[in-house]
Amino acid sequence: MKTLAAYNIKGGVGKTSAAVNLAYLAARDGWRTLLWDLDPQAAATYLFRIRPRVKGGGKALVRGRRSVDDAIKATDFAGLDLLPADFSYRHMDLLLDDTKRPTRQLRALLKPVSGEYDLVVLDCPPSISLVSENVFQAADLLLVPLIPTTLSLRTFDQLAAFVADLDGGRPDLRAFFSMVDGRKRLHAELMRALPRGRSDILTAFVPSATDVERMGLTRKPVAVSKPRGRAAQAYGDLWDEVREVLS
Amino acid sequence: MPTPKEFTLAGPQHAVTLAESTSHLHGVLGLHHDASHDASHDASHDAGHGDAIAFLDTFDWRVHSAGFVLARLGDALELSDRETGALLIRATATGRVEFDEDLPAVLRDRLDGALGVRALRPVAAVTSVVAVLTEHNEDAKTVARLVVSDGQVDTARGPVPLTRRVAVVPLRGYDRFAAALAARVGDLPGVEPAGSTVFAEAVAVTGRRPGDYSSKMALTLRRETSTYDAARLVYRTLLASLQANESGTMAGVDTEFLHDFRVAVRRTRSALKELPGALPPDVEQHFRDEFRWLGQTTTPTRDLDVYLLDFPSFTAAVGSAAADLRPLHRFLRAEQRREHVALRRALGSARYRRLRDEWSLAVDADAPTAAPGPAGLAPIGRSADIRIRKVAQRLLRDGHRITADSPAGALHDLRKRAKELRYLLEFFGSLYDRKPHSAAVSELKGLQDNLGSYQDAQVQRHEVEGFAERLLSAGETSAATLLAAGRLVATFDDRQRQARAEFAERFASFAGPRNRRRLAELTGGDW
Ligand SMILES: Nc1ncnc2c1ncn2[C@@H]1O[C@H](COP(=O)(O)OP(=O)(O)O)[C@@H](O)[C@H]1O
Ligand SMILES: [Mg+2]
Repeated sequence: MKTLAAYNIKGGVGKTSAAVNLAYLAARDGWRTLLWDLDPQAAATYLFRIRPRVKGGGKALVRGRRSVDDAIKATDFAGLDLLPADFSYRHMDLLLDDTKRPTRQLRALLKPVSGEYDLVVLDCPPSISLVSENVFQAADLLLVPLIPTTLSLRTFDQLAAFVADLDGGRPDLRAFFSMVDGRKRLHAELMRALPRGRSDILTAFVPSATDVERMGLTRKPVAVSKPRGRAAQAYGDLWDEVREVLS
Repeated sequence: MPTPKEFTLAGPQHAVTLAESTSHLHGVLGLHHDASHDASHDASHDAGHGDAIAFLDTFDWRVHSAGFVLARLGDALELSDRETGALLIRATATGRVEFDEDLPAVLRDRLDGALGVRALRPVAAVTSVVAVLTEHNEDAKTVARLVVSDGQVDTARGPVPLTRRVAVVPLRGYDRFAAALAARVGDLPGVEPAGSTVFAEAVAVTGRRPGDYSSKMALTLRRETSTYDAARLVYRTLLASLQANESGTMAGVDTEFLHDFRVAVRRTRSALKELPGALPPDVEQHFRDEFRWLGQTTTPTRDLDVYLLDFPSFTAAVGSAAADLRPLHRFLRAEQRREHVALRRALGSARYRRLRDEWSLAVDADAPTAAPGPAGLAPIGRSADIRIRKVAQRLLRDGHRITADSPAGALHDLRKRAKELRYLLEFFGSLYDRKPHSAAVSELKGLQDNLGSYQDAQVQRHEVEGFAERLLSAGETSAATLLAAGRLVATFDDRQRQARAEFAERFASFAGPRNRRRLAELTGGDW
C-alpha cells in the first residue's frame, strides 16, 4: 500500500481538488484506493456526497477505540472508498498528542486496512502541526500544489529542508503548479524561468479552470463531469506522473 | 467485503427483454438508472457482450474442494466463498494464470497449496449484459445498487442462456439500505431468491459437476454380486478414468493427467492379474498384453515429468552448485518434449483406439462381448477375501525375508506386492467394515511410502548417471555440471540409505499383531 498526501501549509491552493481527482483516477486505473479527508472543513467528503461524520468522532478513531475499517464509506465510484472528515478533527492535534507515539499514530491507524488498499490519499488541512508531522511519517509521497509565485516557491524550498531533516523514513516530495492562469504574465514567466534540473517540480500542471471550480456544484471528479475538458486532461497527466513516482 | 443478495426473475430471458425488466424494476422500486455503467458496457459491445467471466478450477476441482470459487474478469482475479458467494480477495493478474506460481501472492497464500501441481482451466465461461439501477439518498449519493444481468455460457453447442438475475449490491458503510432494498425486491411478484450461484448454474450447463472427477476409486459392491459383474464394474470405472484423462494427457495440460491415466492402466492390469477367470482367459490374456503395452508406452514421459517436478529439490540439494545443473534441466525438458510427442502419437494410434473401444465393449454393463470366465460366477465377497488374503500373506512372507543384505531388487518386488494389495483393498473397500479397512490401508500406505522413496532415489540416481553420460557424449556439458550431477548422486544415495534404514520399522508395524488381527477380521482365514 502506498500513501499519497496532498499537502500545503496554505489553504485554497488546490489540495482537495487534487486529492479528489487523483484518488478517482487511481481507482479507475485499478488501484484500490482510500481517500482520507483529514480536514475538519470536510470539502472532499462533501464532494463525494458523504456525510461528514465518524461515529465516536476523531477521538474514538485516534485512540483506536473504533477501527478505521468501521468508518469507511464507499463512494459512488468503483474501487474508491472514503474515510470521512468529522468536525471533531479540529482537535486532532490534541488527540494525537495524547497517544503513545504522537507522530506515528496516523500511520498505525492505517495499518489494519493496508491489505485492502493499494493507495491511500490523504487530504490534509492547511497547517503545520502534529497532524502534518503525522502525515509526513505516514506518506510515501507529499504532493504540494503551488500557485506560481516566487513566495510559494520559497515556502516549498523551506518545506523541502524541513522534510530532509525528519528522522525515520522520509517521504518523497513533489510540487506541481496549481490554478495556473495563462493570462497572468507572472505565472507564465515564473514557470518558464524554472531551472530545468528541478526534478522536484512535476511537468504536469493544473490550469485555472471552471470545471474545477464547478466541482462544488457537480460534486463529481472532473473526469466524470467533463471527461474531455482541459482540467480532466491536466489531472490525467498529473496522475501519470504521480503514479510513476509511486511505483 | 459486502456480499450481494441475489434473486432470479421468473420466465425465460427472451420472453421479456433485459431493458423491459430493468425499466419495470426501475418503476416499481423508484430507483435511478446508472447511465455511466451503461456507457462503459456500450463501449465493449462490439467485442461481444458486456462482462466476461471465466470460472477457473483444476480438472479435479481443487479450488471448489477447498471451499472457494475462483473467477477471472479481464485483469482481475476474484476469489469468493463457495457457499455464501462473498468476495474474499480481488487481485490483479495480467498474464497467464495457470499454475500455483502464476497466482498473485495474496491468492497463493489463501489457496495455501490447494492446487498442487495441477493447472487451472476455465470450467465455465459466462458473458453477461447488465443494467444497473441505483438507490440515492437525499444528497443524490448512491447507497445501494441493483444489477440486472443476462448471462450466457459458452459451450461446444453454442451459447446457453442463464436465468435472468437481479443482485442487490451493498455499498460499504451503507449496508442497511441494501438490506431494505433486498427486502423490497424479494417481495415483488416473479422474483425468487436465487437458488444457486452463477458459478453453479454455469457449470451445470457445461454438463460437468463440481467433484465429478477424482482419481480415488469409490465403488459400491455387494458381497453376493458375481465376480464377473464386479470385475466389469471395476474395469468400466477404470476405463472411464482413463478416458477422462486422455485429452489432458495429449495436450500436456498438467502432469496429473498422465499420472492418473497411468494409475488407471496400472489398476486395470492389476485387476486383470488378481481377478483371473472373471472373464474368459484368452480375453484376459489379450488385454493384459495390450495394457502392458499402454503402460510401457507412457512410462518415459512420466519418468521425465517426475524428474522435472523434483528438480527444485535437486537444486536445493546441491546448494551453491545449483546453476551448474541448468544444462541438465534443459536436457530433461527437451527429452520430455520429445517423449511427449511420441506418447501423443501412441494415443492417436489405431492400436490404442482398438484397445480402448474393444475393451469398452468387452466389459459393457448391458451387452458385454466378453462372457463370464471360469471364476466369473463366484460371489465377489469370497473372491475378494481370498485374493486379498493371498496377496497380503505373500507380502508378509517376502517382507520377512528382507535383510540388510538383500539386493535392491528384492525391495522393488516387495513394492509391487504392496501396490497390488493396495489396489485390491481399494477396489473392494465397499465390501468391508470402514474402520478396520481404512486402518489397514493407512498401515499399508506407510510401508508403501517407505518403499517408494527408496525406489525413487534409486531410479533417480541411476538416471542422473545415465543423463550425465548422455550429456557427456553429446559434448554438451562442462566439468561443473558433471560435478553437480555427482553431488546429486550422493544426495540420492543418502535418501536411499535413509529409506532403507527406516524399512525395518515400517515393515514391523505392518506385519505386527495388530495389523494382522485387522486383516484377519477383514478377510477371515489363518494369520
Ligand atoms: N485549477 C483550479 N481552477 C479553478 N478553481 C480551482 C482550481 N483548483 C481549485 N480551485 C478552487 O479553489 C478553491 C480551493 O481549492 P481546494 O482544492 O479546496 O484547495 P485547498 O484544499 O488547498 O484548500 C475551491 O473553490 C476550488 O474549486
Ligand atoms: Mg482542502
